Amino acid sequence: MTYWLEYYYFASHYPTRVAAWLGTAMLLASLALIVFIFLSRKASQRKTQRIERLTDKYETLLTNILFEDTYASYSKGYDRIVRSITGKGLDKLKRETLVHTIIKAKENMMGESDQILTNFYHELKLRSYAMREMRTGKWYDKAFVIQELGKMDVKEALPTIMRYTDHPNPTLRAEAQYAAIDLAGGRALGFLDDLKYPLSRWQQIRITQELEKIDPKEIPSFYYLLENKNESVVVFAIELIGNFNQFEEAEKLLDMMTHPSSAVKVALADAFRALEYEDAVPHILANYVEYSTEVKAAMLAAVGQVGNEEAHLDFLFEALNTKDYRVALAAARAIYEISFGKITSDMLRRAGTRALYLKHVVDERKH
Amino acid sequence: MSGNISEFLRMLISAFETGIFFYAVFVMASYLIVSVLSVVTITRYFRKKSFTDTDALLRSDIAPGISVLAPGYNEATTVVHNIRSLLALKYPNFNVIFVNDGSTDDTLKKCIEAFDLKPEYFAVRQAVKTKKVRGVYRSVNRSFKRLIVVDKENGGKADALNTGLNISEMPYVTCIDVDCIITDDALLQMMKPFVDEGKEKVIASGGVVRVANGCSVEDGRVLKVKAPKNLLARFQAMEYLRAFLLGRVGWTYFDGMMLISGAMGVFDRELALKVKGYDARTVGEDMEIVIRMRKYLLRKKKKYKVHFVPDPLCWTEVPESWSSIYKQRNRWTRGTIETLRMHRDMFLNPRYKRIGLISYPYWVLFEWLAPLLETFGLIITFYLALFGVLNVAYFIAMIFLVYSFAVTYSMIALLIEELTFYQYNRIRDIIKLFLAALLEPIVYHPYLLYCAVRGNYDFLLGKNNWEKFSRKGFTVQTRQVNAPNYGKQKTVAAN
Repeated sequence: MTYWLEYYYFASHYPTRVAAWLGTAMLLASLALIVFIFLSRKASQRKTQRIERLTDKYETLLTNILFEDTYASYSKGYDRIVRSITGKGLDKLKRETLVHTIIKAKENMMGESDQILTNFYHELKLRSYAMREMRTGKWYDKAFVIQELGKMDVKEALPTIMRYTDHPNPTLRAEAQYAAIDLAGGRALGFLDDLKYPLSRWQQIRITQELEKIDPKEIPSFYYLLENKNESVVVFAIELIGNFNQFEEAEKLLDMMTHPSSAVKVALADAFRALEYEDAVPHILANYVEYSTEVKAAMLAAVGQVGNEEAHLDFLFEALNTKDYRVALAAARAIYEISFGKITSDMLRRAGTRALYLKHVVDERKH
Repeated sequence: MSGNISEFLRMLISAFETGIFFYAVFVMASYLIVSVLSVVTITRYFRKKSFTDTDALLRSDIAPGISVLAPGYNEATTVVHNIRSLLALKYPNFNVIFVNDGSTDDTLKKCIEAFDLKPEYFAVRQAVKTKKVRGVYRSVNRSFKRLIVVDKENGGKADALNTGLNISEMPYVTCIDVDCIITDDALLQMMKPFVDEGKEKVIASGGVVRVANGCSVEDGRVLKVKAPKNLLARFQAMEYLRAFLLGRVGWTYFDGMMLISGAMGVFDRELALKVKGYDARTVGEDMEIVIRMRKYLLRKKKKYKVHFVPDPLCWTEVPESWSSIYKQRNRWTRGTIETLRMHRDMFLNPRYKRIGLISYPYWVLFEWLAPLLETFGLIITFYLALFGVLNVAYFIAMIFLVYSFAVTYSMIALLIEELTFYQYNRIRDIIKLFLAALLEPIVYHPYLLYCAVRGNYDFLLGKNNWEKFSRKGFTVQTRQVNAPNYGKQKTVAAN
């Protein structure tokens, strides 16, 4: 046996020796990996248990502060809780768990309770750590504390957070944008003015949801963003105009009808529908032939909704007879909309070979 | 003279030995590089994911629409329950298009009865040519308004998927195997890369397929993940972990992925239609369409990205018999060769960038030729042994090296699974998988070699049938979805 081992590892020809050494190393590595799997499982189980214990403890503390007179914010009990937490100091895990627990509790609170939790966060001096981490941490730590500072209403962090709203890292950038809106409401949307990076659909969804939470009076007019160089910002602005029913300067949208981007034109069509802006229809008809399939379909939907039967039905029947399936189906849907769902036998005759499209829409609208 | 010949033979044998050595080292190094890239990608994914609140997408009324395409052929026993589990998916804007691909049993009848379907007028788009659509059905019950059932003449899986592409009006489609279990948040997770796209357009997104054999399944959900009891299924559980967590995730690092599994993938519908949908000429249609979409955009010089979501979103039942594995792997091999052959112009072609220069050659060398080279090497070794000129010590050392590497590579996959998704939370499951990894190179791998060689042979013979393998199937009870109250829904007894 020893002879064989000696031969394989030291005396054999070069490739055999290398294979033997490499094979042994790999086998030992695989054994080490399986041992590591077991050890890491133990460690992670311990960590999970500790987090669970801490979460339980902090949840109880928060419940006491919120609902028990003995621990209410004006009482000595409250001071004792604050001292017990700040006195011993917090390691990273404790701090993160505490912040998570407070944020989670805040999600379900409003008014006074929400304010108590914010004050509690401030009295624990958790924000100083967050502010430091925001300047020096790794991108994911920064993103986490930015989220935290936004939720905890740390206004002093706003100038620093605003600097991250156009950061090359997409996650950090997005979190900074949401936090800025948390802290300053509609005023924070100033970051859109000079945004270099595209605004993803995800960011648009999140920002819209943040904006829906704030007082409608605080929502700024989005028309000033229509001339922005960043196409995604223009699209988003048009969507917001429709979403928040900002009808006042709707004629400005008409100037965008010849915008080179299809996405912008599709957003315009959707905004016309949301605003029920009838004046847009003549402009749509004037530019219609220049549009791509996607834009034509969106514009037809807009005509169907905001146009009127007498003036626009002929145009829609013309569109119904195009070879492009998407355009023809959009025209059929528009005919259905504009005639308030009354598809007559005359209409079916007029549609000729395209009658199937009208029947398709009639059947579809049953659902 | 005889001295010269023996000298020449010695040289030849030496060259063979050296060649084998360097080939093995090259293969192992490549796998290790891909696994390192996989670790980096998964780490990044998890960091990013901690900031992802998919509920925001669920609450949104501007979430992009998606059609779930589910082709089915003679699935009368399970079709109703499969469709119900698809209808219970969580996403604000989706529909389910079930394409009955000319079933000869009562698949359609079962659907009509269970979902109150009525035939409707439907202007079917013919963007991709398919077999004739016999009818389109929708439910009169508003609870099933998301469901469209298409009845068509039989044309195979690719043809059925193309019909779904034609019927759908959503910007995205997901093609899934109806006999898989999809987690209820799968669409939310799979759509995240699309709604999060930046400068590069996301054209497709693939998902991990995990092995459901042995798991506790209830209400259409995998409740407890366990290692399969059947040894063959356990080998495949290890194999799937390696293939998805190390292989595909690693390739995503530099956007080099060429295959999105037919069991779980989301595509940009308009682009899929532009490239004329799935190619019915190949049994590897899932890989072929990804390559064609990539090629199309590379030719147009447009920036794009193919994403991969490493979360366990799709659970499938793998075959538990040798004959079923044979059918499946034989088909996979033929699909790979057919697809590689169709797109042979990409091989080392700089026009196709990393796909042409790295991914395609990798597939040729490692996925197609590797089993052939391995078999060739074994045959030569056998002959060398027969003639008494085999360097036994070297042969044993090489076998030992390859075996150790195979086990180590499996352990890396298991470690990643442990540190990230932590699905196998019983120690005994980890031990079972470890033991499977020890046995797999000796028991399972040689059989896969055989299947691959036969796949090559069948390809040469021009065989191109699908040969569906038999599955035990999730029982109707386990597929009974805890779906919303569907009002006057009729119940259909499973046969």
